[in-house]
Amino acid sequence: MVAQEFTKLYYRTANCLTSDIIADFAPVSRIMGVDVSSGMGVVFTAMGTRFDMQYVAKEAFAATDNYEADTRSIDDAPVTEVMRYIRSELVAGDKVPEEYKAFTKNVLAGESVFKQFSEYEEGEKDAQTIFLISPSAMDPKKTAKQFSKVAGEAGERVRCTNQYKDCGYLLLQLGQMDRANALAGELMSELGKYERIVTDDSYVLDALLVLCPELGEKIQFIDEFCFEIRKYLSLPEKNITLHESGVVERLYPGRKVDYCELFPKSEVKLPQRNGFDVTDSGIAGGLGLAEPGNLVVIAKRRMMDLSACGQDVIVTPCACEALGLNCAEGETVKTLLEYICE
Amino acid sequence: MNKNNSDVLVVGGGIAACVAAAAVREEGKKVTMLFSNGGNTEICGGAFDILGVVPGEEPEICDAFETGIDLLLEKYPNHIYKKTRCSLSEGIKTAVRLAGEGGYDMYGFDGRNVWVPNIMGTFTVNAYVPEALKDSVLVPGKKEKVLVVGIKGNVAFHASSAAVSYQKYQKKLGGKAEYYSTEIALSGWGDRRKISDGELADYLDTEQGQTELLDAVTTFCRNNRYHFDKILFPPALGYLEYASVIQKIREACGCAVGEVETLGNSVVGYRLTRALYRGLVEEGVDVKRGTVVKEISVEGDRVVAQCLSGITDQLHPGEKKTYEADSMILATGGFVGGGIRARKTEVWIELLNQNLGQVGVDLLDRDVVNGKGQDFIRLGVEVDEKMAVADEAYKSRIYACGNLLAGQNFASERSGVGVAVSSAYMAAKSAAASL
Repeated sequence: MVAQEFTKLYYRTANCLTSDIIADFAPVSRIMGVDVSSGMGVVFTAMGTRFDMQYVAKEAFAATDNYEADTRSIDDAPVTEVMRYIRSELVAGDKVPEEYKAFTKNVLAGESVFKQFSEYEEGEKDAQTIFLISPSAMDPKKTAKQFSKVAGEAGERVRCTNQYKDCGYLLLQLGQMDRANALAGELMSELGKYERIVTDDSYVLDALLVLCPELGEKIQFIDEFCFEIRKYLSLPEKNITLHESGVVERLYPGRKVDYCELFPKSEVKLPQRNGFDVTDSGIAGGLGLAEPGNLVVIAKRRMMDLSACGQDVIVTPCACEALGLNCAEGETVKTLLEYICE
Repeated sequence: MNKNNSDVLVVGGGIAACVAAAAVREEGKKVTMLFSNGGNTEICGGAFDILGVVPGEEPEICDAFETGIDLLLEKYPNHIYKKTRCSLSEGIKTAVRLAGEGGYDMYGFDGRNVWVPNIMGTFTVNAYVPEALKDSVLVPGKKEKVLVVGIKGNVAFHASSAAVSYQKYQKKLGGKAEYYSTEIALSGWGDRRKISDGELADYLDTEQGQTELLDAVTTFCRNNRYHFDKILFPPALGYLEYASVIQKIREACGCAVGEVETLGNSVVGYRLTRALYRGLVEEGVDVKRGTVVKEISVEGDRVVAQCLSGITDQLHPGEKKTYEADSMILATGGFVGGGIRARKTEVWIELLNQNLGQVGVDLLDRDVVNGKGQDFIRLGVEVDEKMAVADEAYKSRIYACGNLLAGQNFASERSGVGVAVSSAYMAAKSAAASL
């Protein structure tokens, strides 16, 4: 059961008051600059004006969850958590600004925010493994084929689907805990019967782990799965620049995969800002689409670092991150699944 | 339960923790470093201070840090340097080596302290400075023309006010420079009026940003009636590419180039901490960043740390992990770093669950910047001669170092890094020797 409590949040946030010098750690100021206020100033204003959240609505939607590591603040400033709370208050008070209304309405109606989304399903209902295709996939059928091929090498019987869309990721980001909990029950009963649950979307992974912690041991990100069955795969040998998943790096470091071991014959390079400090594409599991201007700026910046590595190919395990990065014109970023199936 | 074994666990991510981990590793021991972030070092000025001022009714400025420590110990015989001074030189060497391995070279001045202009318009005393501050150091008696450059929109540094202030303030330090200022405009952030240091640094890490900055500065210098001997910039010339940016400007303008010292921003702290972590990985330390130690205990002859891995919030409880070792070094920082925290009106050392009492009027002076310094900053954990926490419950298996220690005032003394590295080195050698 997920919940968010103002009191817990408020007192943690209040700790940040001890220093203003952390201002430029906060993603808000990195995205918006300090025209409105400093990043932390925005947080405090938001919490102080608990009943007038509309004044910080722009900040709440611009501060995408996974851009930079906001917890670089030495006071452990929970910026993403605060912004999630503000969004929930905006929805509850019917004060969502006009520009975000369509986005919010889509999420609340259970629709995907990705325009290209179309439901797809293939494989056996009683398969061992269910593969949850990213709702951001441009061609879910192609993704399903790729996964079936890879899993088939290891003799796995699979069902591929995107019917659960983002598994409630954006509901959580809008602070819709009751709806998310209702969805959790559904996910538990439908996904629990599989031996393994794999996804190629790090935001879906996050939502699943938040909503269905009981299934934690069954849930795998696509790179964990590939790593486990690597002896069955004939992997390409190009030199790779890796765009890691910020979700995994920061929230689930225990799930990190050693790509040098996964691709022993390739040179795997990381851009200089990597690991815990990884800069995401800005798409933030779809939340970035609420502020597409920001998304493009962030994606371009990250692509600059990735391209500078000068490798044969840029690969990311997360299909949603690949979509975000590909919003920046330039080199094409491949998903891990696409790359393995080349 | 997931258990991980090491010889020594180091808790903390600042410079004391880094030096402690490296010094244990030097002894061939397996060391794991557990921390959520770089603490105070994450927002430091990027230089090393050892002892700059002896606090008192009339504070004494120290030209050389060793003689300064002599004076300090005369005045404050129970200062922590009394125990750690013998490890100072090795501690500093270790810190300089680690930073260098990570690509962050530090420069000393044969035991002398130097003064570096800062963003406040005054000067900060340091014993070692990084490449970005090397040219910025004030040279007493030197007649030179110094251009202070501000970037339009970067409101953290106001070049013209700073230049006026440097001009006046330098006289106290024997400076004879002439300061000039200008503000240049860059276009990388569109029509926005203000940008943070972080954003400016991020822009200057790009080729476009560097070209724009270089063009603006060289154009200004070419069209100016004076030839400048030195150019000073805000401490935001890039997270990654600052050394190359500085070098390009040096070559283009034919003069010394440096940043002014920050009093704490994300950019400079990032450079130093990431360099230290790179150095540690190079030396074989198991660096577990994003790991918060929630509880420590001594069980039999082992020290146990209960941790949460990953960023935690109300939706993410973190992954529980247990680490075990023969001994542990606490380098969790003091009031700023998070090792010492207030619980309502009382002050506690979090992991040791030790109550340091209340900060009352006896420990607080109404004059915030008085010469003696605020006494409450001297609160901290008591240790024995080997840096073991003076509490029998921990069976001399838990050591402490850095700002967590009692009996120092890093703010008034400008002794933060010196105390951190000397105590860390000593704690590390004691911990390794006890195995």
